[in-house]
Amino acid sequence: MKHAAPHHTHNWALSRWGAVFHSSHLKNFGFGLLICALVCAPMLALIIEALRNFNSSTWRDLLAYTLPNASMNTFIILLFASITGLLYGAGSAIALQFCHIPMRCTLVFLCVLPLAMPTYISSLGLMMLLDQNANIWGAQTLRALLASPFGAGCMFGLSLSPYVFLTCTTYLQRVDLSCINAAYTMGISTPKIARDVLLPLLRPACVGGCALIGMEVLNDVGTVSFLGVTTLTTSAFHMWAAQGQLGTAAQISLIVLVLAFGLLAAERKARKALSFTIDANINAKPLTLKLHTFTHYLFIIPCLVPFLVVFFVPLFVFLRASWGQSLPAFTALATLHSIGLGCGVAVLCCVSAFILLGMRRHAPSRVMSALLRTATSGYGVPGTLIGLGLLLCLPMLRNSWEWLFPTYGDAVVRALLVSSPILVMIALWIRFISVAQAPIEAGIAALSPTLEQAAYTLGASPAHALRTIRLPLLMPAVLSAGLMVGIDSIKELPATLLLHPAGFETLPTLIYAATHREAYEEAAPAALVLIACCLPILFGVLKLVAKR
Amino acid sequence: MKHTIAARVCSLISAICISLFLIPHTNAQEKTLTVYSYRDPVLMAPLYEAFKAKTGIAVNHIFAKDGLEERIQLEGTASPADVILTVDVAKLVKAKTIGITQNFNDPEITKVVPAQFRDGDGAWMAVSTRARLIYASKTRVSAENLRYEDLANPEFKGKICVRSGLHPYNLSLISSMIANTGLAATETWLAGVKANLARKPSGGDREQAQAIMNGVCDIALGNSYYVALMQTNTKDVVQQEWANAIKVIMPNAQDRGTHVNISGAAIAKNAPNLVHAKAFMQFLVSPAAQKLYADSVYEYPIRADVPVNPVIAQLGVLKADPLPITKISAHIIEAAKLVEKVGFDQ
Repeated sequence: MKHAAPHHTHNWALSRWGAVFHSSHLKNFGFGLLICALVCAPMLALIIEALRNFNSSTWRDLLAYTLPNASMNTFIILLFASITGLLYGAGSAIALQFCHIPMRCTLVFLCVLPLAMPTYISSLGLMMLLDQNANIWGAQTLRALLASPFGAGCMFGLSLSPYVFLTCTTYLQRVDLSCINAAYTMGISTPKIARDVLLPLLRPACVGGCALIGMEVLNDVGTVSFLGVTTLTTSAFHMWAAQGQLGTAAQISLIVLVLAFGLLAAERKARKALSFTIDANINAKPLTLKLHTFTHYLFIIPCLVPFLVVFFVPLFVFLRASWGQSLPAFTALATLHSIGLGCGVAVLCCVSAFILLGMRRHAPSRVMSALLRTATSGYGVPGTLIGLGLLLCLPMLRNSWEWLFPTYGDAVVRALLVSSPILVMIALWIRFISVAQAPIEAGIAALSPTLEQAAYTLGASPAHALRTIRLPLLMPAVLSAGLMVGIDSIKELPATLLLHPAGFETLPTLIYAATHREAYEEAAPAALVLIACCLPILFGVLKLVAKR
Repeated sequence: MKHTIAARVCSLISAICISLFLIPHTNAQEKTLTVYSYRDPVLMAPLYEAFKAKTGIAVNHIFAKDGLEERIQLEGTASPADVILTVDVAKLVKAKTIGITQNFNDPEITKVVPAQFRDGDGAWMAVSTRARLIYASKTRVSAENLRYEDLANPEFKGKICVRSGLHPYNLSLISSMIANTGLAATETWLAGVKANLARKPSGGDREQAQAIMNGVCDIALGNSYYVALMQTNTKDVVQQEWANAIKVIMPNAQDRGTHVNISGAAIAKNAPNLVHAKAFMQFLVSPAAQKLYADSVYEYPIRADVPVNPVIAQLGVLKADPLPITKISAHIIEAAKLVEKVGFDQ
């Protein structure tokens, strides 16, 4: 057997490459390659721009004055966002899994609710509250704290703690927890079990959740700009926008890209570790930690703090500020644009993720897996960088189009790319395709291949089998993927702000415009509309996840 | 079954929304003009409506905080931009430098816009001006005349509030300090102001007035029109209290004059609607538009024959720094580097 191994490996590799280049799969491979090229184009454009414009004197200034502060701030924000996210996200997941807490379903919903409010909106609400009550003792100290890298990190941590909560909860439902019972049988105390068994067990879920938080932090421009904290992302943006040094901006962006891809790799590694869990015994009695009754109730705190601080309090501030006020001009149109954008990007992401995953299922090979990994790497890239990269691609696109169609070149490029929201949709599609991929991949993995095989045996065509078997069975996964992409697209600000065409305001850009001219009282009603748009979608996601 | 129905409902809603949002935003038959603007659409709406009433040309508006010049440059000949509207001279100068403007030498514009506030070649012109003022506590600051230079005096230690040093309003002021006093002196001055800050630079100009009312600091820097916006705010009446807590000092009124920046406009190089763009530029300096603009954004009209809004007029007579605005904007990058060097925002 041992002697046969190399030959077998060789054959295996050949057969895989053969599978890729088989005439029936060449089309699939081409489609995957096209998506990868589209995802990579903005990043490649940035890299080329960075390499083309290297200037040592600019870098001397950057290293002396800009980068130390921006890097330190980014590090502090990432650190405290992770710590806070872990504390409240993992804390609430453990609490709801292992403690006797009343109203468990309500608390699950409250734990996820911060996702309905973007971090920049929560920060706006809290700042408005602190400024309105500046004379109350401690308000100024709190304000100063919030406007520091530490405060910004905590804001991100609280606001994005649902990511850690969701990954930990999903993990705890799938993993075999009998080791905890075994530890109790051996007479080990609860704190020791928490430290030596539970926390190591949760490590992959925590790493995955924190990596998601980190990527969101690197993507952010709105919150840190509003709080007045300079990060690497804002430095790149400032270098481009205020000083007109696109090359230097691209070079700083490369640092952000390296960080983002590091986080993406950590998230993928964690996700891979999560997929190797032992299935939980669904008939097992729910496990409860042996704690004092009062301690059980104490565990409600991590469930409630993020909801109260980053959702309820800002919501209350916005409701008070909006009381008796009419909605600002363009709100109805901006709402329509936001929902339309959300729907459009959701459809795009779901369709392409579905096709990519289907292709890998039918022609499994390392190349297809690599293509899928590349196509879904956009989530790690901040929206500003995707937007910047797409803008850098515009001259090349224009020139190619003009070369192909000299008469209509400009008019078509203007109509398609510059005067319509298509460029915004492409940017969001690049960024959120992985958000759609994860639930659809889980759905496909749960699907037994024998069902389709049976259909083929009975004479069904692949299209018929897809329409009558695969799609109906995968519909919950596709719907939840679509809803998740929708909510992210509706909230998205950096790429939309950079690429939106004339007359195409969305709710986030409207709020940003109002805060930009310091008319917070006008931003409040629009923020309420944004939350109202996100809430039913989030509710839909939760309902679908609960059913699955 | 339930999921199939849900999926169909979702698909239907998606299809309706997508088709609605992909519908062209303007009527194809309508005469249009596209403005790339750093001033947000709500503030510009009255002006656009007046322009449409007069000429029948509807205005499409793209708002951004930064990066519009680069966007126009990268869009190249396919750019739909007809007019570029900025709230800072540096961006107009940059637009000309990177070659995205075209010259428009209209006799009326040359006549009514002072040479100090327009490009010599006709690449851009100012529409209005605004002054960078000192807000001081009515009760805690007795001085009636202050200079920008005084903000670095040790007597104001822990008493000054200001927004981010990298904000265009402050960068423009720092550039004017460089133009007037030199780079080394400005660095010493900026480090002195930094040492006098009561808190880390943050928020906007209105929040500095609020901080003065709350006793966080005694002195702040802010633009002239924010005083009027606070005084006349009926949506958030508490802002009237902020305005009432401060007195406005026109800095350097006794010597070189107060630093002013401009809101300005330029015609884009590849403007698809050039005739409309020229009509818009002419409209912007017309007495009616100047009055409307001055009343809606509370800036000083560029035309001498149009009266300043009464709320702004009560702040006092403005003696503007006579230095050509282009000489000030030439130091913007140096100003940004100084802000980083002294760690002003940290």
